Amino acid sequence: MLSAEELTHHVGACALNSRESQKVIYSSFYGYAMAICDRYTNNQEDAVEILNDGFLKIFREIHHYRPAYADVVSSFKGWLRKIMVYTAIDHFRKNHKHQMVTALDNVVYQLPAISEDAIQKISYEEIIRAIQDLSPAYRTVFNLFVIEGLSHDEIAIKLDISAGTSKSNLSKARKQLQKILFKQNQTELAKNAV
Amino acid sequence: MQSDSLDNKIREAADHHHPAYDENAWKKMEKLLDEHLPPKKDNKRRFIFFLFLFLFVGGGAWLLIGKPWSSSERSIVQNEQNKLPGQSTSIPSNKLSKTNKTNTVDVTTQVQSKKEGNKETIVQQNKAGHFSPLPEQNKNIGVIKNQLNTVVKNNIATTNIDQPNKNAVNNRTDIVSNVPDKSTAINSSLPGKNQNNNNSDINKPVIDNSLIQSTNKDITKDNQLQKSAIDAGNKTTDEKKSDDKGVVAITLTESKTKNRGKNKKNNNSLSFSVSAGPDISKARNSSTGRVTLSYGAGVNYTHNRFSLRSGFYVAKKIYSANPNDYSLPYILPSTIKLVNVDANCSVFEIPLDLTYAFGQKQNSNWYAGLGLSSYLMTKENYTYWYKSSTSGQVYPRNDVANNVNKHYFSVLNLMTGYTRQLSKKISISAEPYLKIPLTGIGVGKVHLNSGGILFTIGIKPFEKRDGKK
Repeated sequence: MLSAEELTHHVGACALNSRESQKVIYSSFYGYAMAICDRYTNNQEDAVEILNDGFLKIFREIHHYRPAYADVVSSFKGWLRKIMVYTAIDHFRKNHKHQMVTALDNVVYQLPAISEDAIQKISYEEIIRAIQDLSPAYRTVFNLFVIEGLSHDEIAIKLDISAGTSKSNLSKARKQLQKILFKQNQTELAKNAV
Repeated sequence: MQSDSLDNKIREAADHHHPAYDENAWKKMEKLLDEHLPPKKDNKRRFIFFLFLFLFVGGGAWLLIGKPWSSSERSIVQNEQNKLPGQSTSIPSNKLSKTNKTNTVDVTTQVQSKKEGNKETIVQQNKAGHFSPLPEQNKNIGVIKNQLNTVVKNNIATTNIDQPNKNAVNNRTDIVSNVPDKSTAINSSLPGKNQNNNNSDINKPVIDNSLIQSTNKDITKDNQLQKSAIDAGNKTTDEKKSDDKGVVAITLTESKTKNRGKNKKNNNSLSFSVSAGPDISKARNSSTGRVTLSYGAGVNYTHNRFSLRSGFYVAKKIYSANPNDYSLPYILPSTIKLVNVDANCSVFEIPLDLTYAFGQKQNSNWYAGLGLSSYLMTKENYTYWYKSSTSGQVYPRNDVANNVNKHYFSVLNLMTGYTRQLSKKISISAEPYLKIPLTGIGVGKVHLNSGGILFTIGIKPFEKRDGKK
């Protein structure tokens, strides 16, 4: 990871469209940015597309960037994160918007019980894979609500849907996620039993 | 709670997820950067592009106003042909054409030189501005009259310089006839002495001194023409033939000039064209956009110097707009401000232009014109950059509109250009243009100006090789 001085230098060079500095920043923040992007899609190609579109926007507007607080690296990571999330949202709206489930106000989803032990046994890779396996609409809402911390009202504005639709999709996402994780968990238990 | 535990676990998983660096991803990124953020030399290209655009438009405007192709000599030849035989005496000296002067000196000199073998005698006489006795060899007034008649005739008949030599003894009555015969008057008014000189006076040709004086002035002013006229008299047959050709060329040019009107009336043609060229767009007060390629095909109908044309062209409008130049279709919350808009729009353009050709030469012409275009926005891709007043950060948001906006006859076209005929059927053109919107363009109702140069290959499929249809 780059130091604050290195980052400041390369940000300044990127503002002058220096290809070398662009590559340095790209390679330094690739892992952090890709970790965001590949949660919004279930294939590597789409994830790279979202990542590169996001970095293109960053390099285009990097001359506008000013650190919001003293920690230059964290400030830059926060800005980069937001851009990647918005790029992922745009990608979803372009390709999968019609898959949003309409709000059903009177439906209450009952989630099956999962033990704490089962939750602890699930690995990070499994969780990420499970999120990737969600359907696009559920996956987007789930990521925005659970991981990015947006409210349903904010999600509704960003996705051009109603807050009710956001809630409905989140509930369905949780249900589907548990099904995937539980199925994975059961498979693991069956393997261990053998 | 259970869901909270799961959510926390999921957040931890997200924080710990770090995919490894992939060089292939960077290669794809590089291609994107080359396309959307090319290296800085583009600015130089942009500068050179605008420089050439300025030179083309400025050069075209200069040619339109200055008309350097129009020649003063043609008007001289036309003046020659317009003169009637009797007019030469009434024409003031300042209106005598150079050709006239040339022929006058030429013929007179030739005649005298043939008769006397002494050209300079006459020249001296003319420069003096008065008539002095001719050498005694030429005492025949009738012969001199005929010779001088030849001068006038040859002034008019500029097609044949050789003639004066042959027709040296032809009649000339205008100058002599319009001048009162002073010989008798002089002889009668001057007693004695004049009477003694009567014989010599009678033998002198009566020439209009005023005409000679006016001619003298022109001659003294233009010594080179005199010399060339004298030389013309001494030319060999071959040289005279080449002179004839030059005169014939003038005559043919004149006939072409006359016939041009006839050709104009019958100059109708239909042609098709294929065009391509660089295009650049700019919102009113915003920075200049990227240079893109515009291309398409057209059809052109020409009637005399006017051409009506239309076609179908494809263009990309890539530009940035500041908030003052872009009308957002919705209201933003008070904590968010629009910082900038990046636009990438695909456009189908259907123009309808009228052009006028000027400065027509055999194989080329300049033209200028104006028209109206319709823009059909097939795909509009906008990236909105918002700034949050709470965090101070700038965030992008993307929006796409497909086949939403159509602007019929909403763009004013201004163009000028140069066409060169490669053959009867094929021509090439270069046409700098400006497009000025009459309404707002696209989602943001942007006042989007465009400019560029269109390079065109024109084909006249119905034109026969001999020029007939």
